[in-house]
Amino acid sequence: MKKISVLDRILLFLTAFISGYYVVNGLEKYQGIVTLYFTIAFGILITTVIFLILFGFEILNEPIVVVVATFIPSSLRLTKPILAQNRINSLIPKLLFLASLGFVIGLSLE
Amino acid sequence: MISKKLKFYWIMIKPFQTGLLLLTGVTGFISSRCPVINFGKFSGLILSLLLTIGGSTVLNMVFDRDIDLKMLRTMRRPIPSGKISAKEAFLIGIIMCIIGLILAFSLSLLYGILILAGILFDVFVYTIWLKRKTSWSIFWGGISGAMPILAGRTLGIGYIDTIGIMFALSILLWIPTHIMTFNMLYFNDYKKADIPTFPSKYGFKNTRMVIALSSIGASISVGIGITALGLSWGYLWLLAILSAGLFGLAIMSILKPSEKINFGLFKYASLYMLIAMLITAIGSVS
Repeated sequence: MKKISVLDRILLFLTAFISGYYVVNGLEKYQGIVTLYFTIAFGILITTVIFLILFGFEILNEPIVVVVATFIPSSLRLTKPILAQNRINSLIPKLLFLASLGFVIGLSLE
Repeated sequence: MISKKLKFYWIMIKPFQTGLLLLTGVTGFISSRCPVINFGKFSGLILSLLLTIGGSTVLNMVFDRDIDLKMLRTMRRPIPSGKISAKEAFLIGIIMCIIGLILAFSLSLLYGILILAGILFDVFVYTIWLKRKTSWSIFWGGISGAMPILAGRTLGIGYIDTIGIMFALSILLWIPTHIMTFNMLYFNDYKKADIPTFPSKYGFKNTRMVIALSSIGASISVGIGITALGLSWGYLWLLAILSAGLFGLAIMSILKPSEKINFGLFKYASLYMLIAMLITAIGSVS
């Protein structure tokens, strides 16, 4: 596995910083379920990045990291249509079922 | 010659540790939401903290010079290696503490008392009295480490409040994470120097458990403090996320103990405390 370099650490730090900025500022515009998805996505990104900085790329060998990392695109994917169409109540149940289904299949394959 | 001396003085004040404690004191002050632009008070706070924290650190090195000489990690420090004499270091430490204390008492009586208590707990209770006697000495070391943030907030609001105590408690609980990790990493060094530590008295497994629990306790305390401050939800979410990472790592260090995870938890807890301080400071002024 590739050793983590100084440049990698700088890029990862910037990623964590920007994600932190989005968690702090991005949430004030939206409420409810969007906030939750947003926080899950960027929250996992922040903690994963910090773990990468502290432990190096070897941590990617841990299956739990790969599984937890799938939450990032899943959560972001859920926020996008909600924000775009602004029809939270009508969209969430359908999306949640489909997303959960895909998620369970993905996890069981893992 | 002078630059070389200054370099050794710089090493003796442990710049990283002093910097982190200074940051906690400044954060405590900013968290009071008093006018930070008050240049006299703000610079007085920084200077008094820098001098007293740095001075007491130098005094600790003077009293610990025989221990430092026995340990591989510390034997190259300026005093045990003979680059600076114990007498000279003692003089430097005392002068720094006295000037810092005069400055602190001139800013506020209560602030001065808290700073003085920090020095007394650190130098006399922790280093001189208990460090060589009991592994529980770190508790008293933790109290002295918690003083800057409590003093900073007290200087800002004029009295000691629950938020200040919660912040102080978070530092007090974070310090065992820091010291016990070093106790395990340099276990043989401490044994050689005959210093009682948690790992030597209670074993590695129990020490890891204490580190995990104190890390969790530290994050809960700082979380309560920040919530009570009334920062915006964004900051609280960010802290909750970072706390989740800390909890996860702490649980992993109990369930799957290893040196790597333990050292990772130590680094994460230090970073967590640094970010928590920044969140508090930025959230208080924004």
